[in-house]
Amino acid sequence: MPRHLFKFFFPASGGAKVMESRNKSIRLARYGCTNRPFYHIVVIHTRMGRNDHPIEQLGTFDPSANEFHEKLVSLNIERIRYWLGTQNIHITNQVRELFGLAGLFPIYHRTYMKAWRNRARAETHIEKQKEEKLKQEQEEKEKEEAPKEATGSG
Amino acid sequence: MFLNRVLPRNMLLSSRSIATKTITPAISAIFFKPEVQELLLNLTRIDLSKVFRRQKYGQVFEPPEYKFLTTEEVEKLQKESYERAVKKMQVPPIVPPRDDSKLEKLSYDPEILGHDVSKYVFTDITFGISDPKRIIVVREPDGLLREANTFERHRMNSVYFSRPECTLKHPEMFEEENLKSLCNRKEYVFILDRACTQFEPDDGLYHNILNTTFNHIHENNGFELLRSSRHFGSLVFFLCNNNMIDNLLLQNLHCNMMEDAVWLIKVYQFVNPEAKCAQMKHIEGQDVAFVQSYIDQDSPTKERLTQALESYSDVASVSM
Repeated sequence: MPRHLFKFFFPASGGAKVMESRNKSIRLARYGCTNRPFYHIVVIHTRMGRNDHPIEQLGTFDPSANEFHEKLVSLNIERIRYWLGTQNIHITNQVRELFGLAGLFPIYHRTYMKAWRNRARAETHIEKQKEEKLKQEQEEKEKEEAPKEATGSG
Repeated sequence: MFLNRVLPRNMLLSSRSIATKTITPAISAIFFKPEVQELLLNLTRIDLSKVFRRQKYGQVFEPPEYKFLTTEEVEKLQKESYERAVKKMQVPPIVPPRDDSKLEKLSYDPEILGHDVSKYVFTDITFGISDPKRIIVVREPDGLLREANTFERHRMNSVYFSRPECTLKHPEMFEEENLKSLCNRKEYVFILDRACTQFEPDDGLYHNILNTTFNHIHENNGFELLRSSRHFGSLVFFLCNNNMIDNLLLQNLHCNMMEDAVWLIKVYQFVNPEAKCAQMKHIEGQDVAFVQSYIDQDSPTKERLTQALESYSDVASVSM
């Protein structure tokens, strides 16, 4: 099927038929292009492919920060609350993280882990820098002392 | 260097240089009183040829229609067009500016300090919620979840719910220097119309722009340029709020617009209920005495106004 016809019959904003017996999940569907990801937060049957026709689009997530150092997330809270109330709904880790940061859910444990790892990395980085500085200072001192000794003996 | 990019520094007009009162909720409530609204509408002096003039904003014009009508039909149409004009002349709301220093802190989780280097901005895109009521929250890198400030709200609203007349970045004409040069060219209506569509009425920048423009109008006596535009009401309210109505009153007296002078002082009384002349009540047919009471009790420039009032009453007595 040509691309424009496919887009016409299966729009990314959703519209797939809900099958009651099947499991559904709220997850991210990658759009955007190469090296520039952009995600839709969608409700979709769990067994469907990543960019298959979703039941409904619940929001967007732009993971690249803008000029004000912000990552933009939009959530259709009313519809999210509806889908959370239905049965057989699975929510993926990435979406749980976003909902946790938004204050919709309690903060997801992966966020704590990320934060802890980032802090540990930053600490080791700082310690490394400190050690390097100390080394440099010591070398400079030795250099200063060496010519003094030479002049003193001469 | 980081903060320079976050805050639109060049946009922030120095509000300290302009000694103006900020709008409090009490004053905003006075503005929305029906009596005050009526007075402001009367002061606007609706001129239909000016209200429905051709404004050249790049649209394609259609040629005018000509019809044969009876006198009754013409009167009916004129009445309808006047009603449309009244709707068009509605004064933009005057509300207190949103205070960005008192943002609500929704939760603080110091355990997730450093989860990301950038902020996360969450916007509720639920159908059918208006821009000022939309929920927009920000998660800071240090774990603080707070309400979005005015600038962030403006950007998110224009990203997800864009309007053609409102740009994502504020136009350069509102920067201090450009605004000054526009004011010097007396493009007041252009500035105020653009500001009205660009900003929310509770934006601090909007208030600064209005203050500078109205101050410039007051200093250069450009009141006539705003007449029969929707901003004349806000100008009058601004002048009353800052006790600066003398220039406008003087102009009214010079132009023999006694009615306008009386309405102006009535608005002044509403806005300043603690002023000395606020107890004075207007009796029909005694306009001069009413204005005189204001001049005697509250006016900062008494001599010029008394002279103008005397010359007005002389002319009136001769013409009687």
